[in-house]
Amino acid sequence: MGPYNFANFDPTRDEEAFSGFLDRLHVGERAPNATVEDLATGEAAELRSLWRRNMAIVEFGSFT
Amino acid sequence: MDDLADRYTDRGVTSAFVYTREAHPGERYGPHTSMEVKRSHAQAFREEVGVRRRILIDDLAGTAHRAFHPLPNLTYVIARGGMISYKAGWTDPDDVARFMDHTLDRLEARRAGEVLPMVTEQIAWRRRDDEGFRRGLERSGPQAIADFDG
Repeated sequence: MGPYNFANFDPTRDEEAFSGFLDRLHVGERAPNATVEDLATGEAAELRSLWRRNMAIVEFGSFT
Repeated sequence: MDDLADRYTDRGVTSAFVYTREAHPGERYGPHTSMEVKRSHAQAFREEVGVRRRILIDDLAGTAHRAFHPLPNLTYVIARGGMISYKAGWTDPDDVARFMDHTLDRLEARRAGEVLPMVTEQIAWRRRDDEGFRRGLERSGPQAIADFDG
């Protein structure tokens, strides 16, 4: 897969990733936690805080 | 997806956008070489696209993104407490809305003891948006276009 922050889009990388999507993190499993940074405040936040008390819709993506 | 977030807030649903690596890096929005760069891209994304949801920036190594899956535009719906109840390898607001409407209605019925949970797996179909996709490549820069077109 190469470095996470790749410099060039490579379609074969996505093909590899798509092929493994159904094999990981199935419906019914517990969502992983990670520490992220809130853009609005600059403070650290835990992803699990999103779903601790509510159902959560979480989208992953970027500008490009 | 912001409209969806607004639509379900009153029904007790939290929405967030996790900012990951650049999927199509180019001259204007290249690969993240520091958190400062990543923050500036996330800020530009919020301002130019008009994102109203809470934006959470993943770390430079993509720890959160890789923990879920490194595809470029995923959506997960996670039940209160942490169980994954929906996963999509591409974000399609219509598909998310169908799931949310159905799920929220059935959760109300569950409280009345009228339904039981089950699991499905399916191929879904999303609408093409070639023009929007090309605009994204152009925004990133000529390199992004060249990489995609091969």
